[in-house]
Amino acid sequence: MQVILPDRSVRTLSRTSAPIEEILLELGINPTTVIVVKNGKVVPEDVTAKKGDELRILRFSHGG
Amino acid sequence: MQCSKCRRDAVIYQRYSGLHLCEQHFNRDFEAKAKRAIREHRWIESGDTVAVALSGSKDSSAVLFFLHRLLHERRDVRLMAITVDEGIGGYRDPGLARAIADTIGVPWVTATFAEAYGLTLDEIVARKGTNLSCSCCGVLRRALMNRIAREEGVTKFAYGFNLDDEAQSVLMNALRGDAERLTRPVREAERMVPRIKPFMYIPEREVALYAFLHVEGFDLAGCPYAGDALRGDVRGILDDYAYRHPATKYSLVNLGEALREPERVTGEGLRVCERCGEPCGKICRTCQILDEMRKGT
Repeated sequence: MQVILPDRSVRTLSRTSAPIEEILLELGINPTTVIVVKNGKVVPEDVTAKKGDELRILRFSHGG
Repeated sequence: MQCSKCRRDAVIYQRYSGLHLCEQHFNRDFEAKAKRAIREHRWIESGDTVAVALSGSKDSSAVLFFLHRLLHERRDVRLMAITVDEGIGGYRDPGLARAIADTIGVPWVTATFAEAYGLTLDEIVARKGTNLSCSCCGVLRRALMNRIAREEGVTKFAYGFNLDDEAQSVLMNALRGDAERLTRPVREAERMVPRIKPFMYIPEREVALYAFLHVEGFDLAGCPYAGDALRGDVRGILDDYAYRHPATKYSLVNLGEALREPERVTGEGLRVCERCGEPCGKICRTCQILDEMRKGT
C-alpha cells in the first residue's frame, strides 16, 4: 500500500493489511491530529488498509 | 466501519463519545454543538451584524460556511466576512479568502497592514525579529479588525477558535501560574466588538473535517512566523495525553469556564458525614468502605 504523508512524500509499505491507526503510530503520527483519506474517501482510523490501497494523510495547520 | 446511527460508512470515530459517524450524522452532531454554544452564550440576537474574521484557514472558512447555513434565511441578522492582509510574503493570498466568501455568497471586506499602518508584518519582523511576531501581529490585526467592524456596523465578531485552542489556553495559563487570566471573567470592553466562538466545543480535527467536506480552496499552510513555543509544547503534550484520555480537552474547557464564572459551578463542596462527623464529599467514603467490609461485599 502507498501512504502519502502530510509533506507529500510517498512511502510504500509492504504490509498486506493493517488498521490505519497502527500504520499512523508506526509513522510517528498521533491519529487524532490528522484526517485520513483512503482511496479518495475520508475514513476513521480504525478502518483496515489493505494491499493496493492508497492512504493520504492530511495534517491541518493550527490557528489562523 | 459503519456509522453508529445508520448503515452508511463512517467518516470519523469520536473517541470521547465512542461513536462512529457518517458524513450526514457528523454534520448534524457538529452543527448541534455549534448551535448549543451560540444558544448557551446568547451570542447571536435579532438585529446583529455578524462578521467572520476570515483568514482563509480551515477554522475561519468553516465558521463562515456554518454561520451562512445557520443564518441565511434570517432577515433580522446580517452576515459578512472581513479579511486582514498582514503582509506576509508567500503566505495566504487574500484572494483565497475572497473566493471562499464569494462561493459561500457572503459580502467580503478587506484591509491591509500596509495601508492602515504603513508597515507590513514582514517589515516588522525584519526590524524586531520573529520572537514577538505573533503578539505584534495579533495586537495590530485585532485593532484593525475592530476598526473596520465599527465602520461596517458589526455587532459581533465570529472567530473559528476550536476546543483545542480553548483547552490549550487553559493549560498554558495553569502552567504559567497565571491565576488572573484563569479567573478573569469575559467582559465587554468599550469600543471593542464582542467576540463569539461557535466552535469552542468542537475538536480541531472535526473543524478540519467539516471544512474539508464543505469548503473548497481553504488554506492548509501554517504561518511562517508562527513560533509560540509554549503553545506548541502544550499542544503536543495535550494531544498525546488526550489520545489516551479522550475527554481531557472538554474537561479543561469546562474548568476554564468554571473558573471564569464560578456561579456556574453547582457543586456543594465538602460536607460532614452524618454518621462519623468526618469531612467528606456527597457520601462518606470511609463509612461506605467499612460498611462493605463488614457486610463482606
